[in-house]
Amino acid sequence: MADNSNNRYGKDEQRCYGTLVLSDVAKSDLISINFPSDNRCTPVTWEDFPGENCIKAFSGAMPILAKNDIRYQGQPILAVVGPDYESVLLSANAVTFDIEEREEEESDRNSSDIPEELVLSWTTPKDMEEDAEEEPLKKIETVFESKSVNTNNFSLITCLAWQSEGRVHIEIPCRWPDLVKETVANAIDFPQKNIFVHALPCHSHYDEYAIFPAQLAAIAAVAALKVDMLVELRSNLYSRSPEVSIKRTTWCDKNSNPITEEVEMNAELGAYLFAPDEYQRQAITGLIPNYTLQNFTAKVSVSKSSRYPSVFFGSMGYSVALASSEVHVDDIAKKYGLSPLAWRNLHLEGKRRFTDYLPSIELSPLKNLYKKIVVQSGYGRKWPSYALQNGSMSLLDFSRGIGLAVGVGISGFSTTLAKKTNYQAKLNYTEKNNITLSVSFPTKGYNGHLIRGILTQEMRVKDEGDVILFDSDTGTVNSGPDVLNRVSGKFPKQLISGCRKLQRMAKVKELPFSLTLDTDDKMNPCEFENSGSMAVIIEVIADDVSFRPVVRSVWANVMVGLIFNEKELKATMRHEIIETLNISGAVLSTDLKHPFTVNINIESRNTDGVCSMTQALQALVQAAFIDAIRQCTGSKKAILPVKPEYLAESQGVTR
Amino acid sequence: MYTELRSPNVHEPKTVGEYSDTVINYKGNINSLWAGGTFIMSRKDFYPSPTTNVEIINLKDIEELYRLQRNDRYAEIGSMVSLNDIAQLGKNIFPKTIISAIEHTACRMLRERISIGGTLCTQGFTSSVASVLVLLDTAVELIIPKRRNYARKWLHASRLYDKNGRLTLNTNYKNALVSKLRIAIQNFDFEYFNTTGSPMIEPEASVSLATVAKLDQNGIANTRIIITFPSRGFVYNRDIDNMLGSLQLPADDIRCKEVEKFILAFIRDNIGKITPIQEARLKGMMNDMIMTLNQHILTL
Amino acid sequence: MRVELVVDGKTLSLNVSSDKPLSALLRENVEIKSLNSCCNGNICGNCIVLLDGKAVLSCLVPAFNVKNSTVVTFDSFSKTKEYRDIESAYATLGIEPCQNCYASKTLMIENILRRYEESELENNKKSEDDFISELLHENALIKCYCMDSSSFIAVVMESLNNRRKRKNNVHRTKIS
Repeated sequence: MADNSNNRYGKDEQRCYGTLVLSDVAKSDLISINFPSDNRCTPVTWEDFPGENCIKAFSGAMPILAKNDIRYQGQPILAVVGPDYESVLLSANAVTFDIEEREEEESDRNSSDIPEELVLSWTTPKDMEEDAEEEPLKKIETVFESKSVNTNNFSLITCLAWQSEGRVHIEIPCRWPDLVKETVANAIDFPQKNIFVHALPCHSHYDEYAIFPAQLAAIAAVAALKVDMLVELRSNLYSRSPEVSIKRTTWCDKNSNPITEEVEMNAELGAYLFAPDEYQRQAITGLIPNYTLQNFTAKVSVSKSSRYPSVFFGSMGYSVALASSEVHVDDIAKKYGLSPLAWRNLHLEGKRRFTDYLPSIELSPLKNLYKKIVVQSGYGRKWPSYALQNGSMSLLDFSRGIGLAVGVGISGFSTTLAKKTNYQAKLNYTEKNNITLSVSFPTKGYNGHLIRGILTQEMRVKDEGDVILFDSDTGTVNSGPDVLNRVSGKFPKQLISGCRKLQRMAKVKELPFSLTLDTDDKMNPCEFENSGSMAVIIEVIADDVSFRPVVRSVWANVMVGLIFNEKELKATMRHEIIETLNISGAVLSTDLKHPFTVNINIESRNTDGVCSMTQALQALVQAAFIDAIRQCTGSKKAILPVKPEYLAESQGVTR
Repeated sequence: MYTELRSPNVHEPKTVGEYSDTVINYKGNINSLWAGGTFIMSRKDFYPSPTTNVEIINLKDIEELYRLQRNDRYAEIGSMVSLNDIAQLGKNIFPKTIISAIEHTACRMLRERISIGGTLCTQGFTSSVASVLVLLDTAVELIIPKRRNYARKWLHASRLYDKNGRLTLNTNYKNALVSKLRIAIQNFDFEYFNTTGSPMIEPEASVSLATVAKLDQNGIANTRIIITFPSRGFVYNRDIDNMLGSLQLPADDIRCKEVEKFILAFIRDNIGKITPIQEARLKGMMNDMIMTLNQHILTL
Repeated sequence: MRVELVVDGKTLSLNVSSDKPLSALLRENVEIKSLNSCCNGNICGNCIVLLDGKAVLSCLVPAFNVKNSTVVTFDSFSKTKEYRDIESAYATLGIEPCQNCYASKTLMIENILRRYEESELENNKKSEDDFISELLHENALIKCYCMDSSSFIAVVMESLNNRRKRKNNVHRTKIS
């Protein structure tokens, strides 16, 4: 039944409900759509778009609704709107398509939007005499695979679109209101100033609210214009991680010093690419190891496939690359009969090399970080004891492992992307001595507390009520999306610098005045900054009945910049650890005697930066988990997520 | 209203007699018997259903189906009694295997809405609770509607299924209703129940194993073992029971492997091919069961 | 089919399909904002409501089974004193469910508190191990991984303490 709602959308506004019809197949030509002869529901296809049937973000673009080319399974083909959800769902289920599957073409794999391989390398010139005396180097190879994971978190995303007095209103949960506005404006051929986006709060763990809301909003807007009614369009949210393969080869001397290393990484990013060059930059940053190398070459390439486009997913390649770097340390150590701890103690010395991607980093603080949790967890005692279990002394029910990983984090976009996108925020000092900040990304929750805390502290405001945040203010500024922890990682530094500038201006200028600041750092000589350091240890036991890896304990020691709310930060880190473990195939221990525990210790450097450790935490939890699993099973394989079939196979239980 | 045109017709009989009359009057139209409804509603495309003219018989108001009675030898439970109530009330009465099977089916919140009758009679899905009831020689009473009356018939729970554990109730006794179950109050020296995987979400990776036996100084006697594959059925056979019963305890690895091989071959010949992970998990469970049996016998 | 029920204190008379799941009914006919999950039979656990005082997965309850029932969703529960017991447990421990499952997890905890307020644990009929085991199972029902078992147990115990303290204070106030 069309709902008569006396509400803020307009008095006595009638409403239509809708859903999307998604493709069951990939790589096909869509010949025709057969809509059931049911005059209760109305289809909305690409032909109904007055403007462009296209969503564009960074350098990428994809159709909002499929025209005649279906690239991936789950691609939206049409929307169905009707008087109630039941009719709509029945009509949607009755829709059939005439399709023709096609073979994958060369042009799909080599299309022009795939950037060239990104290469980072350095070579240290060698002394010819030293060269002659050298013994042959030992070769250590690791192949790290991260299989694609779908996170259908079952949440429904609902978009309301309605027209009122020549303006179109969109109400939708999203993390990038500007993209919603732009996409809707292009789709319905309206000027952007006539589109109003009411961004609702949302919890976006895998950045699933970055791109899809814009797509849904555009369809809802087109439907609203077509049926000339308020449209409520609903869909399940979906996101997918890229499928990544990293092959790393290191040549070490007799004293286990790494001399030369070559890394090749390939990431499959789905049917449409968004910012693939940024992915390459972030990934290559994670591939740079902590230890000293004379010669290093890293190559990152991306490819397309006939799968759901993978965008962001909490990290643009940095996490998986860092995880592979740490897993490789385990292999080097084993080659020389050392524990990963002993090897790190020997080789994490001095400073990490300066590169265009990350500045030089002192390595001794990293050592201090892991030393603490090594003692807490008993790693030094447990690792050799678990290592002994493999082979003839092992008992089936004693498959245990403990893994260690250490690294630094990054957040937000690279300097290169920051220069291209030019996202901004606006700080205002009002006549009444209030500080207002205008941004276009949502600032509810932790981000809001953080920004308010920084403004209160920097501007020495007595009453927190004197700080006002205008978020989702897509009229005056374009601040870009809230993804990759930009808001909690990169933006605070810009904000602090902006506040100091504002204070200097207040000494010479009369109130009110405002200052426009960049949300990303464009002046950084490197692509990224060190966003905190951490060390993680994980202990795992392989259940010999269910063949699932059961995580007993996690220890994490983190060094960050300023801390505004330690409890909230610990809670965020805890969430991240648990989510990462679950998506990696782990099961958390529910044994009454050994319940799952997370021990987090946070140290503050008290610098100007506020750090975001999410990406590093993902990486190090994955690396420590894989190392622990490999110790459990005695296997060399490094594949995520860890599946029960893999554990059963490695313990020789399957045929 | 469109919804009224296809809204299923819901019948709510108050007695078994009314149930019987409803079935006879709507013969040929009855699509759905509704107990707790948990399984039915958890199917992917349950709502909205494109089928029109659906008749639902809701058993919720038939008081007789909620009765509980017990004596020294058995307990009689109405088919609408929830799994949670059985677990709570039967904790000190029933064998541990059935209590474990119930507790592993779902958390308490869900168990309060799952009926024992529904658990036994779900088409296309075999619950470990159903198979453990078969293992424990449970008897069930059927109400069989007839033209002017209805008949009651008691039979062994295994008669509801074929030899591979697939429900055949609708074929053998059309429109029959399971009204009561009779579970014997019995003691065993050895009981084992284990399950792994989620039978509702990943039935092709889930498997459960239940065993009961008497032990004496000579070894294991009156062994019964049942293995459940949620989407395939169960495996329950005298030959397997005898194979396990012939084990000299404590059993060594070689004998364990022989038993394992026999059981897997039996499964392949009767149920068909199972997934590698089910096979691995079953081996793990059998190993665990025999180790537990060994520990048990050594402490006798 | 016409279904009469009380939702969040309001008596409603709705014309819906008899087999419509309660979750869809609440989301579409009553516009409950806290119910925004639809897992198509995957038992995600994110649609918990209190039906006649007990927690249920609303996607597993058909409309014909809620005639003359009372439904409490998180929308109204969050305004009650009982909710404060749980909310302050979250704040004290620094452990909170994520936004996706906050509503369901809180109602599940409330269900556990109601169960143990009345009987069992207080009367020592249930051993602590059985209680913890039950909690572990309940926690596993909601397929959101933001809260591990130990955190969940800690929150339940703290909420139970808060509930008992509040009730004892009320009792003492009534006596005095």
